[in-house]
Amino acid sequence: MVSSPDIPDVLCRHQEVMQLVSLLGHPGESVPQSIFLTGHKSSGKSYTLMKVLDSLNIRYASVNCVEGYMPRLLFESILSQIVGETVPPSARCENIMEFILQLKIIADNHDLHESVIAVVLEGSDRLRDMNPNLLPALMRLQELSCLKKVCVILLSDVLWDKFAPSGGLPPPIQIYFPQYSQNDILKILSLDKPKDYPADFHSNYLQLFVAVFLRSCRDITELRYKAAENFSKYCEPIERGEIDINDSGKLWKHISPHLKASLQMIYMRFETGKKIATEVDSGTSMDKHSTLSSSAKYALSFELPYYAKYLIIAAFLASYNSPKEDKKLFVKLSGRNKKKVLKKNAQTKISSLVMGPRQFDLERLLAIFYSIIEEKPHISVNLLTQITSLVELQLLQKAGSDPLEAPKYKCAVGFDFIIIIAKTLSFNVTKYLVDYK
Amino acid sequence: MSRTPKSSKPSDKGQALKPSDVCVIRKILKDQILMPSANPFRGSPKEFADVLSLFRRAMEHGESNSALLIGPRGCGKTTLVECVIEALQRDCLAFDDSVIVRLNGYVHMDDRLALKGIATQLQLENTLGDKVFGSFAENLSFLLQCLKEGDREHTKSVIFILEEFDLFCHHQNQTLLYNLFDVAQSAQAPICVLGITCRKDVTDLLEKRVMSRFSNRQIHLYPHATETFEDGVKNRIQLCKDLLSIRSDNKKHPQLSVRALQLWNTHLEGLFVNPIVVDCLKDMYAYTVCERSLRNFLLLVICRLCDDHLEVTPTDFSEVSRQMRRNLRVAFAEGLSILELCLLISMMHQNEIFDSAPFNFEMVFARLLKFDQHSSKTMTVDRQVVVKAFEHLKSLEFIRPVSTSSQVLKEFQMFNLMLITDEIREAVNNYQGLPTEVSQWAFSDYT
Repeated sequence: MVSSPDIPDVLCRHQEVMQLVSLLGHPGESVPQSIFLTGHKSSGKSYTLMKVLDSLNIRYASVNCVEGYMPRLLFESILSQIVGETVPPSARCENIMEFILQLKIIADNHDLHESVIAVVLEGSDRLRDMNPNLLPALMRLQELSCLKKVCVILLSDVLWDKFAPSGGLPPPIQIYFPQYSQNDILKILSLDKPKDYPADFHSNYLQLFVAVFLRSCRDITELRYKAAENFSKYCEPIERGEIDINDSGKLWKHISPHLKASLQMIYMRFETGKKIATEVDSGTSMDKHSTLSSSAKYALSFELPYYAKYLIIAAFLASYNSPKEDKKLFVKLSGRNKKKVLKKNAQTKISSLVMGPRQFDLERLLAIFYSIIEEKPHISVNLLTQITSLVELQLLQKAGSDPLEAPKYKCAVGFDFIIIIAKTLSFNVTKYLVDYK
Repeated sequence: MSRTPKSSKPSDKGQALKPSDVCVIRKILKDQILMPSANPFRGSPKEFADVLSLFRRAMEHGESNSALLIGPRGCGKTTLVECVIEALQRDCLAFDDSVIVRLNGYVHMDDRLALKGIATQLQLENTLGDKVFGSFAENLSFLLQCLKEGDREHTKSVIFILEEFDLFCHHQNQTLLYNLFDVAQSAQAPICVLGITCRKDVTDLLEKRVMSRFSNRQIHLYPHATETFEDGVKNRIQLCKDLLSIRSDNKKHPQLSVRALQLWNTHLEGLFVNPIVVDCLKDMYAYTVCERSLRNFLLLVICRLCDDHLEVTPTDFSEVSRQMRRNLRVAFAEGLSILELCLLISMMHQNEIFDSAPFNFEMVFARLLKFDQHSSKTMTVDRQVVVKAFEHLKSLEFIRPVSTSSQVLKEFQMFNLMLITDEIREAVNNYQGLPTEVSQWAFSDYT
């Protein structure tokens, strides 16, 4: 008699599990040609699917399309996972025809005609970039291979609509994984509770954490990482005996700058934990740290020499000001006239700051450089190599590769970066920027 | 609602189905839904007869011919051919003496592969292996030669079925098609070539020399072409009934008692006069006539049958229909973080102001900052976090780059928004726990 299969328990994904089980879980029943699982990144698509397939004892092959970037890699990986051992070189598959042939041979040898074989393709949106015949063929694998129990399961965080224009794809059964709600996220994060602390203490922390992070990020993997990273900091003063475990107010005061700093570093996974901790603990540098944003730290990390700083500022001005304005800006004028220039340009439709940098040639760069720097360094090889090294650092972009033409450049750093560099020189950039309001 | 919680008891023999019966029914129905050729052929009797006579003449009299079967995707072209073959298998004496070669444009991507496929299906790989041929034509004619024994009457006839025929037209020089049609026309060996395609203009793709060898026989399959909406809906419901009812002559499942079978079929009769079910099907038909979507729909409905849900109810229909009809773009937008949703709103305003001109990150960011200054509660928008959010939207393909040149800096690359205003506003409406200023911003006329 057909018994109802055991259903795996996946937190917050009960409905999706039930649906997958009802489609795949009854031995002896036909399976659909293709299933398309879609949902946001890290909404548990692969995890749920693997759990279901494992608990149903379904033979499956799972390939990520980032790895299988060529059809051959894709096919061989699928075959070897279905057999359970590496495929011999005689069974090389260069194209879908050989793949189907091998699949049939495997099915014959292992007597798989009556058992479900699932082919799981993660990141299946990448299949669109391969041979245009590959995806339609894979989606019809059941029909083409005459194996009645083959089911292709596509996973993607891109909608099915985006697959459709290539045409000729049979509509798959779609299962949508909704994004976790705030409560779901709290439930999942509380799974990572460390042993040494009580549950409500940890859940209090998670409430604070989620309140800060959820606005900018709902990616559960990233949230888990960040929650674990910050929890140790949260507990530090308790371990040292400075703050009582029940004094949530003080704990919040202690953790909130950490959380804010950590929010800026989201997805980056810099190992900055120690540095921040020492600065915060010393107390005095605390304020200074919180005013320094991560972009400032990035800008200062280059430790550019004096002339190079002026050069990059000059490059920025050359990129974001039209050459027409140069005369007005850089020829010494009285303050009154300068104001007029600014007023006139405040009415321009779109600021050039949002339109991106323009190209400029070396002469213009040097001209601006000499007008903004107080002393007049001699033009020398040393000065010109500074430009090359700025290009090497990718702060400047060289445009055009024609060796006969005079070199042209583009500034590759943003306004924030320049502001910080200018601050170190106590130089007022905004004075020279036409579009700055 | 006819959920029957008590029926799991074995004593309850009166009206309800037993769980064991439901399992068998589910299995039979899944087979019926997922394998179109398992059911008796419906509709298009004329086209069916055409293909049947074409094949029959090729098999019985060794008559060579070529034809194209044209019809939109999912209208049952392959099913028709499979049903024809099945019918021939039943009553054609010459069936065992003929070979059917199936080629598919997706699989046999060039002529070399196609030839290999032909050799495999004719079971002639061994003979082909060690021979060297000058040309493709020689190769093919050798293969066909192998099937000849003595005079014309005793030659095995071969039926070539070329699915996705249009893709074969893109092969270099159309060598395969040329040779196949050439053989078919010059009566070298009895072969019948049937191309199946969804492209109506497929004959325009054929080269002149190929075209001249093609018999120009076209069989068109347009099952929905002339029907009115009302007729269509009626046919739809009939089709659903056919797919979901179990025929009494079904001998594959002896476990199923006649009583259970009748119970199911009467239950079904009641189901398809229910206004909710009819509305669901009508609604779906108004969106798509594609039969595959209907099969998916019915499969999901049938999948809901289980030990504690023994009958299909109208609610099942309406729930599955809602699930399938859901606009996933909106659902995806609801799953974004507040920051990402704010970015979408900025893009929406940007599009409104600049008449859907492409935008870059800086423009959207500037707009977001402006909103941030106006709103009472300042949210800490760090530039890098916003960049990440922007990139997330890009990877979701909610925004698409105008050009893919790598010369432009990341912040200044131009994008188009792939969502419409209504979708974004719907997502804003449905979003749980969205700050009021954000939703006000989304609905304001921003200028």
